Amino acid sequence: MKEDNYDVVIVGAGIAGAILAKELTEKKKRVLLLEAGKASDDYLSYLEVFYTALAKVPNSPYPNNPNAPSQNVLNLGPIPAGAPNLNGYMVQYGPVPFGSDYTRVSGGTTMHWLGHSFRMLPNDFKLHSKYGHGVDWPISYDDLKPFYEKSEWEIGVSADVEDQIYPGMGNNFFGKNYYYPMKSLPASYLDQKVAGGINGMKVKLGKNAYPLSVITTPQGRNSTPNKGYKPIGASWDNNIGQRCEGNSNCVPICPVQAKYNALKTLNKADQKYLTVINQAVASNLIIDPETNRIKGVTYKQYQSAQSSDHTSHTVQGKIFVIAAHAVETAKLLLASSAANSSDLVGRCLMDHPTMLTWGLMPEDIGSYRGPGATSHIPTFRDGAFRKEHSAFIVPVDNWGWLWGEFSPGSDVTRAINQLNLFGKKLRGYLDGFVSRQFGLQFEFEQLPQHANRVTIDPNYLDQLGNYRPVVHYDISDYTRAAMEAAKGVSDMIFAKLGVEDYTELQPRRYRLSPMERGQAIHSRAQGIWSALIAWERTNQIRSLTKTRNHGITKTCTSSDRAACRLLELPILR
Amino acid sequence: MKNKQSSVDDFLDLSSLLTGFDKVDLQGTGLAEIYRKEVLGIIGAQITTEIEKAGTAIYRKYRNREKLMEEAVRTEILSHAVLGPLAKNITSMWYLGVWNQMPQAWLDHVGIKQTAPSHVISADAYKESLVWRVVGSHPPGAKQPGYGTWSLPPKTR
Ligand SMILES: Cc1cc2nc3c(=O)[nH]c(=O)nc-3n(C[C@H](O)[C@H](O)[C@H](O)COP(=O)(O)OP(=O)(O)OC[C@H]3O[C@@H](n4cnc5c(N)ncnc54)[C@H](O)[C@@H]3O)c2cc1C
Ligand code: SF4
Repeated sequence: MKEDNYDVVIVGAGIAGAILAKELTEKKKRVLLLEAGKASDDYLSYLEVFYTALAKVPNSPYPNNPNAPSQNVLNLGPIPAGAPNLNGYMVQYGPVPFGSDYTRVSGGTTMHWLGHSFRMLPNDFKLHSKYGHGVDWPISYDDLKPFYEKSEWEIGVSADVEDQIYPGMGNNFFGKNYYYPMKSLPASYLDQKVAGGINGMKVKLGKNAYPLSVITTPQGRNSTPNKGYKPIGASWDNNIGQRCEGNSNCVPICPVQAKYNALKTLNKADQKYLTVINQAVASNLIIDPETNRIKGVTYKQYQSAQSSDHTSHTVQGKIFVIAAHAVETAKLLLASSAANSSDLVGRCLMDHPTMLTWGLMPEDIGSYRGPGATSHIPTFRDGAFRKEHSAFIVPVDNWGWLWGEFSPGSDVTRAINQLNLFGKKLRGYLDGFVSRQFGLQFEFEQLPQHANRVTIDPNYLDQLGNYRPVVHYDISDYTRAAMEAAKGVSDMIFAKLGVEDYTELQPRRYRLSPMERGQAIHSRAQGIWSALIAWERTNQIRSLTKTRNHGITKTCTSSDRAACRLLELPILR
Repeated sequence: MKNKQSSVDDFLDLSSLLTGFDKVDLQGTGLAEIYRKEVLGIIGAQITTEIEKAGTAIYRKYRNREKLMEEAVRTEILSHAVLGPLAKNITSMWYLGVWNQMPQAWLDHVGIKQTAPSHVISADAYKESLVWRVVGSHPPGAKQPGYGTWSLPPKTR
């Protein structure tokens, strides 16, 4: 055992761990932070790796580290009945592949998050009593509200309160004098075209008609600061990245760190009270049989990702926080038989399954410029339809068909190889075709389903002998019904805007051939399940302290995550 | 007269025909020599010289006469069993910064046993990939156009 006895030992230097480390060290608590991956003092080398990656998927810039592996969407594949897909780090039993990933380096998954920073709506907390589905939360929106405010100021969210009008938000959604730390980022040119075309348009879902609105998206990237806020630039030079420069690359890596990542918070921690051990993979929690509380963490420390050589250590502390990401946290608890009298650890795994629709606008809309999305349609986040199917949010994509078709790489390849174009005609064709590309993302709520879960199995271990996550995952009828409804919404929007629909809703192939990887010169993920492409949000709200109380392993966004963590802090006072 | 022109210049003539970009633009990417080396390394001198010669001849003869030029490129290069697939690959290399592995049938045909797999040629190749210029944007993660530019109408090109 290490002699040090820390006030708090945190496992994981992602946004959850970093915020805690910052808040606790500010209160002069001695904190040890164990991080499985490398320290991110070499951010620019990630960027170089990104440039030369053939398929520019979310994890492409980050080290492939067999000692602290993470899922890569390139390993997704169909799952044969009865046998798991073993291609990637996750052991996937499906029946639907869990299509998301996370990043195991210092800074965690915020390294490649998009930065959208939404709050949940009051009715999200009362889904069962209001709409007869899912469960009610033991807390309400109002309980969480002050922590949303705090985390928005920590992340540095850009938005104007007066633009943020959502269904069912009630009349005190934002505090009376609340403002975001930075002003809204400008809506993209194409957002303006879409808003001009569909604002106020009524769309019928079930018995009711819903008026569409297009509003700017709150996002964790730097714009013009409001009073009392100083934008935080790149971790290696604060003068860089003071404002979003329109690199259009928020996923997988912002070259200037204008987009928030957890390194910014970590840097703010009072280093006098903080000890960080990188390349230290927590593998077991030691439980005191008398008190039934955690008294130590065993971790495996390695020197190089290339070798499995490592040494094992144990540290002690008063309080332990497992902030290793929803999937890894569940794994660690299960591996240690900790906090699982309810048999709920790892259950109710969620994502936000995504459906893409795409087509050609009648004119050049200047696609492929700016942050991933600057506006969204909030109309279907709440309403009576939630009795029939789940809610969804609709970001208006600034990146054309990148995700649906690997455009424009695939357009180039097709124009050259199939259309036999070259020279000026090739240029003309691409110019006319690509700059009109338009896409909507429909991101769906999932309900807590016990069968959707992370488990462990001694047959599936990684190079250090730690468990690999074994995942069972499906999409319920409640969510699928929303997808149907959403396709109808998309059809109406496309009709109103005069968009030529190119959406391909057949199941898509999973694996990319080398040629296709060449086309995917910049793809966030690859086509998966009937254009349902699921990218992450796997967060458990539940923490060690709450495990026994209730059964929700709710996924939440980073800002939810931050708020949830902050909510738990008072117990430390 | 014949030997006066350097081979990189031949490669640029060919590339200009295939990409529809002026030689000066291609030269400006700083990648012409690197790309030529890439082709030479993967395909060998014989076929590379053959395609460069075909390209430079058409370029000199029909420059600025679009229709005749297109005709000649289609006849002499694109529909040629050996040169056609290679020409397509060189075009996509300029547009995407990626070398795509040559199709197996082609490799068998010309008798190449082992060949380079698909790869991004270099970080610069990615940054200079022509497709982004054509569509009035920039390679994601590089050549950032600046705050708020995305809210302005697209450039007329
Ligand atoms: C492509 C993509 C886009 C996203 N976009 C958005 C978005 O726009 N808005 C939004 O709100 N959310 C978004 N998310 C989700 C969001 O990024 C995550 O929910 C959030 O970052 C999770 O934070 P975390 O601290 O819980 O976990 P992580 O950020 O994953 O951090 C966990 C940390 O723990 C470390 N760790 C793991 N295992 C161990 C171990 N055994 N021992 C020691 N350390 C360990 C990891 O290395 C990592 O540093 C996105 C996710 C993805 C994948
Ligand atoms: S648009 Fe560019 S500069 Fe702005 S946050 Fe995204 S990657 Fe960073």
